[in-house]
Amino acid sequence: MKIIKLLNNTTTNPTKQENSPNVSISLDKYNQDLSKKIDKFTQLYQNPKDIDVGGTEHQIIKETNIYRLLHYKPIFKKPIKTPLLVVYALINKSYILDLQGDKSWIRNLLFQGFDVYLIDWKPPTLNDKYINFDDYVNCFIDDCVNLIINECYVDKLTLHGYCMGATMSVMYTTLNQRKIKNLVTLAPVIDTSKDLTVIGNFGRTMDVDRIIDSVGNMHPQLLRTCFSALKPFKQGMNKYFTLLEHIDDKKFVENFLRIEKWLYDVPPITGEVFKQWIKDIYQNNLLAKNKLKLGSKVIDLSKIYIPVLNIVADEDHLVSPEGSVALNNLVSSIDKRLMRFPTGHVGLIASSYSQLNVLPRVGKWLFSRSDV
Amino acid sequence: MIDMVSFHENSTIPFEEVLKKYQEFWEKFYNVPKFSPFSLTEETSNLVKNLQDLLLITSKIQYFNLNYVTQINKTYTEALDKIPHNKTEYSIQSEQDLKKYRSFILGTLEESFTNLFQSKEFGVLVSDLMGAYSEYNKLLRNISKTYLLPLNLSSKDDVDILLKDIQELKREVRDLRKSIDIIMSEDNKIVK
Repeated sequence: MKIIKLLNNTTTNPTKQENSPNVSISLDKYNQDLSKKIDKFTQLYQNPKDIDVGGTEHQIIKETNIYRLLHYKPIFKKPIKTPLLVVYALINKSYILDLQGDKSWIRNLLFQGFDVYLIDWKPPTLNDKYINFDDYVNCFIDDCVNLIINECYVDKLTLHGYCMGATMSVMYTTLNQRKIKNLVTLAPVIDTSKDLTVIGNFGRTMDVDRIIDSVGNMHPQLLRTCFSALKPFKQGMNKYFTLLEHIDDKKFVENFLRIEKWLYDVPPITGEVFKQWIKDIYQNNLLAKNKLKLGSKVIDLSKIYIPVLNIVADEDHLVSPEGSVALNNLVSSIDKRLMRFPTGHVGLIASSYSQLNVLPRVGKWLFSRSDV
Repeated sequence: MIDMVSFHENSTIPFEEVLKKYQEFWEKFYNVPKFSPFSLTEETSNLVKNLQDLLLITSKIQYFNLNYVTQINKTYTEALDKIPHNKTEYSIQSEQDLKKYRSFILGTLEESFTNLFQSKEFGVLVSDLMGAYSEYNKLLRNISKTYLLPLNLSSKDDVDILLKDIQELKREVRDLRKSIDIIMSEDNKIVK
């Protein structure tokens, strides 16, 4: 109500309008245009069409009830020999890495000559609620790594994780370094004592045992509630004003809907994983303290000595950049590199900016450390 | 029934104390002997206990929800107070002016709400609210368990034990397979 009053106060300024009649004509036209755009906007949301995502050609080389291992068709006849395995996060869906042709992280890597594989996690059911990080890392990721190594006749591959997937890639590398040639992490969650995000704040105060005991797996609805507290106005609300302004631009609308589809496509997270994520990583910071246990094994980051590339978004409001940067200080690798970019969590992987600024540098770093 | 809205305004009585008194009152009823000739009270007592627990939890949900909404409203009002509504300061004459004004409003709201969401107090409140919903779900589960007992169906706890055991077995099989693979590869090396 107050906003409406404020707008009324400002738009119906009689002295200004008397002095300049063109102003009222211009604003009237703007209002007419706006109401037409709102009609289109309403129609768009009332009749959502199928939104196509993940269009890059691929083959499913293994499928279980937990994941699908995808192999993308190489662009070149002889791709770079060292295969690249992308480990996606357990939050939202992996098609953000292949959202559309001109903003696809995967397609760009293929065009740079890499042989790309992706672990596409499937939504867990209530029967999977006792699956923990030990299973994800030492069973599912390990199975994929072994399969690729055998298929490609190589000893090692490049492990490349995003967000929670980057954290799992780090865990895997500490335990299975002989199979990994390079580790490339995008916005990994490592040192949560440096996390200043809203998610970090919720995580630190959450009574996760009580919640998981009641719901089994972490509900998508609860996850969405937490995510909606991230930049609720500048992004959560402002994006719809931007959409209104560009409602006649077909390409813009399609891009917008793809991102929107991804944002609301939240699968549940298995109860045990969510408990470990909140208690061990956010509340007790065990990963950064080298005390995190997967089964009987301790994750000691100082045991990593292979080449590490850590890519961090400085405007990331989901994963605190300082918490990600910590990885470079915790590993023992001599060949380690930190790349920071002035963009956000999603902008880092699915934007024109990442195509122009991030991926060429990542490709260059990787190419010089892969077997050709 | 306690009116939570007026209760919240009257902050001299802590909410926890009201809940405690409420529970104490009903405990007297539950402690009525259940043996003959009072045996008929048992069934009623169980029913009333479930209802009381439900009332307690829904009261908690109402209390935390009210706090949550109050925090949001307070932040919203405080943010809007920061926006000058003096006519001379904001005269919107063009589309650009309107965009600028909109951006200013959203920026002010964003700053206030981010401060709220990043505060420890709000984090605790969200946790309490989620915890209360969890308690509610758990209670409904326990009630349904009591009434399903005569049907001789497996309870959630029974299924949970099975699922946990299955997952443990899967892990053991995985570790065994890995050990076999290592032994096999070493054997192959020796043969070569």
